[in-house]
Amino acid sequence: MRRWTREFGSGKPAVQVSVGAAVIGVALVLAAFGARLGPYDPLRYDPREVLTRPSVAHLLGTDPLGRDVFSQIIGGARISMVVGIVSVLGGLGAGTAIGLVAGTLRGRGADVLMRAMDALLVFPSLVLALAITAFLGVSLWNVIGALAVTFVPTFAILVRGEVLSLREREFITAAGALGVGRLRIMWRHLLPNVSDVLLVQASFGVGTAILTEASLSFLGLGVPPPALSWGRMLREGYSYLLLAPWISVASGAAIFLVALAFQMFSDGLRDVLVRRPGAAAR
Amino acid sequence: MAATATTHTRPTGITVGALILALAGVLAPTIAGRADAQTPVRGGTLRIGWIPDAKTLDPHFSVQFAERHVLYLVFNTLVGLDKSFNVIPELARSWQVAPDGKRVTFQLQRGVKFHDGTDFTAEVVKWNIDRILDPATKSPQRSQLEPAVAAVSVVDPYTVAFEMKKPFAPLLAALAERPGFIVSPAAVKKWGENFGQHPVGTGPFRFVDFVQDSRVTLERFDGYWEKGKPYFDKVVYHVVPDPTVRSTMVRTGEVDIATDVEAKDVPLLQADQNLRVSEMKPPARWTVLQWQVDKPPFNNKALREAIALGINREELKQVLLRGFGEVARGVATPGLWWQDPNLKGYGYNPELAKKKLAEAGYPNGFRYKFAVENTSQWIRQAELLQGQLQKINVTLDFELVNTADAYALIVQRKTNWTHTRWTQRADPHGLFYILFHSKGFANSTGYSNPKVNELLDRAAVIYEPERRKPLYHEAERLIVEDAPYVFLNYTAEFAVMSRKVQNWVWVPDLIPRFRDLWLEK
Repeated sequence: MRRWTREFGSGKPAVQVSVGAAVIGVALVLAAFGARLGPYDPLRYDPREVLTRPSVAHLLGTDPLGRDVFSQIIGGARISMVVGIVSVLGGLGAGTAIGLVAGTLRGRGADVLMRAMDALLVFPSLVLALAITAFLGVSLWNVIGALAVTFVPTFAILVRGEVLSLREREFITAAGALGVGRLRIMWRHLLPNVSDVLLVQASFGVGTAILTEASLSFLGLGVPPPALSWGRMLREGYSYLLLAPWISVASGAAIFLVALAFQMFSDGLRDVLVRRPGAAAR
Repeated sequence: MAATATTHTRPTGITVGALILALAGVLAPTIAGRADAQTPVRGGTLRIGWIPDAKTLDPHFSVQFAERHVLYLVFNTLVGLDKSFNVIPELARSWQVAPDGKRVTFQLQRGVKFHDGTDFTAEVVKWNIDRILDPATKSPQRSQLEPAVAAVSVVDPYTVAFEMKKPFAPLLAALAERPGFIVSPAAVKKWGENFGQHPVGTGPFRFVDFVQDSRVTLERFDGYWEKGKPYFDKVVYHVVPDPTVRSTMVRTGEVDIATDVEAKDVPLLQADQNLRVSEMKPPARWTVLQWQVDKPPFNNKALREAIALGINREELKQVLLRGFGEVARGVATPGLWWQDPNLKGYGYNPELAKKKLAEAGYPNGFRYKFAVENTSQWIRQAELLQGQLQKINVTLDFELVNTADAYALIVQRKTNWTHTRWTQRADPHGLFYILFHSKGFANSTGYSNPKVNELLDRAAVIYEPERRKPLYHEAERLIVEDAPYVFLNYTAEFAVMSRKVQNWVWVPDLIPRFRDLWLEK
C-alpha cells in the first residue's frame, strides 16, 4: 500500500493510467447500464421525501422533488460519457482528416485550411460551444455537435504538425517514389504513426468535454430534462446550496472525479507512449 | 375597542401611563429610536434587487412586469389604487361620471410639474390619451381604451373630460395602470422613439440612467407636487435574475429589498433577525398551463379536460410552494370582490382523466411538446407536472425557452402548450377581457366563446359592482369548464427587506410601490 502511494505520488505513469482507467471503467459501466444500477428510479418523485438529508434510505439525500440524488448521479453518468466520448470522436475524425490533408498537400489550399483552424482555436471552447447551442437550441445532438466543433482545430493542428515532420522521412519518400497513392500513404503510413498522439489527446479531450458539457448544463444550455445531467443537477443544487448542499456536492464531486480520471489517464498515457525513449528519437 | 377606550379614563390607566413614562427615561435610546420610526426619515439610497426583463420605461409601450416596478416612481397615473384596489385620487383630484355613463370628467391637481420643467395640464392629459389611441403609435395599451373612449376634451386648463362610446366601468381602473401614466409631451417630442430610455414624468423620482439588463438609477425630484415626498435621495434597481441570489443579496446587505422571492427560501429568510419577510395575503397571482384551443391537438375538449383532471394541485402546492399559497380554481383570486366563492374548478381525478383521454381519441396515451422557461424554478414545476401526468399516460417533451422570450413566443403563437402566470388588475374587466374575450389583446389561446364575449361586454357597461358580479361569475364558470387555461395555483408572493425598510404595503397587483418607502437610520 505504502509503495503504491509512493508511486502514485511520484506520478509513475503506470499507476496514473491504471487509477484513471479504473475510475473511467466504473463510469463506463454506469453509463452502459445507467439508472438500472441505482437503488431507485432517478425520475421517481416523492412529495413526502422532499429535500431529505443523506441517510441509509437515500445515500446522497433527495432533491426538491423528492428524487433520490444517488440514483440521479448514477443515471447522469450516461450523458456525461456519451457527450464526452461521441463529441471527441467526432472532433477527432474531422480534425484528423483535415490535419492529414493539410499536412500532405502543399500550397495555398492547406494554408487556408489551417488558418481556418486557427480562427476556430482562438475562440475559447466554452464560448464557442455556448454560441453554437444558443443559436441551434438545446438538444443532446446540438451539445455533442457544438463540442465536436471545438475539438476539430486541436486535432487538425496536432495531426498536421506530426505529418509535416513525418512526410520528410525516408519511408514516406520511399512510398511516394514507389508510386503509392496519396490516400494510401495517409491511411497506411501516416495515420498509424500519429495514433499514439491522438489517443493521448483524445483521452484528455473526453475529460474536457465532460467539463464543458457540465458548464453548458449549468448555464441552462446543456442536454434538456428529463435526461439526467450532472451539470444540471449542479445548477439545481446551486439554488439550494444553503438548504440542501448535498445536491451540488454530489454532482460536483462526480464531475470532478471523472474529469480528473481522464486527465490522469491521458497524462500517464502520454508518458508511457509518447515520451518513451524510442519515441523521443523519432 | 370600547374596552380599550374606557381603560384610559380609569385612574389605574394613568398610573400605568406614568410608569411607562418613567421607564421611557431609563430606556431612552430604545424608545427614542422607536419614536423616530413613526415619522418618515428623509435621505439615503434604496437599493433594490430587481427582477429581469425590463426593456422600455415608456409606460405606453410597456408590456413587461419588471418595467412597472420603475414606472410608479418616475410617473404618476391619472388616478391611483389603494391596497384594497379602490381607485383613489392622484393627478386627478376628483371625478364625476355623467348619469348616462358616457362622459367622465376629471378635475386635475394644480402646480404639478414634469421633471423637464413643463407644466401638467388638461392639454397634457388629452395629448397622452390621444397618443395611446392613435393607431400610428402602436401602443399595446390602445386596446384597453379604444373600445370605449371616443375622445378626450379639454374643458379648462385643469379639467378634462373623457367622451365615451358607451358606458365603461373599467375606465378608472385602467387609468390607474399603464394607460393612465402621464408622460411629458415635450420629452416625447425631444427623444422620439428613445423616450423609453429617457423617461420624463411627474413622479417623485427623476430618471438618471438605464443600463439594459443591469440597472436603473433614479434620484429625488425636488419639485415633486406631493409635499414632503419622496423620502429617498436615490433609488437604484439592480437586475438580479435568480430569485435565490436576489434574496441572498438582502441577507448579505448588498441590497435593501427584493421581491419575487421563492417560497423555498422563505423559512431561511424568516429565521434571519435582520430581515423582514412580507407575504401577500390572500395570494394574488396565478400559475396556469395554456394551449391553443383553435387548432389540433388541443381543440379537443376531452383532451384538455383529461389533462386538467390529471394534475394534482395540492401536491404542486406542497412541493413547489412549500405549502404557501392556495390551489387555484379560476380566474379571480381570493379576496377580490368579483371572486366566486362557489366556483369548484377542476379537481384531481386520475381515473376520470384516463377515461377522458380515451374519449379524446388517445387510448394509448398522448405525447406533445411543452415549452418551459429555462430557469430552475419553472423546470422544477414542469418536471413535477411531467411526473403527475405520466400517471395518466400523458408525456411532456420539454422545449426550453429563454424567460425573456417566453411571453413574446406565446403572443406570437409560436408556442402551443406552455405555462404562464398573471397578476391581478383592479377591475375584473382587466384580466377577463384581455385573456378570454375573442378580441382581448392578450388572448393567446385562440379562445372564443360567444356566450363569454357577450357576458363580458354586458358587464363592462354596468357601473354597479353588485350587478356586474353575477355576470363575471357566469363567464368564469364557462371559461374554467372550456379550459383554455388549466389553473394550477394561486401562488404566495414574498418580499424580503432589511428591518430598516419602513412602510412596505402590498397592493393586489403585486407591483411594489417603492416610492412610499423610507429607510430607518
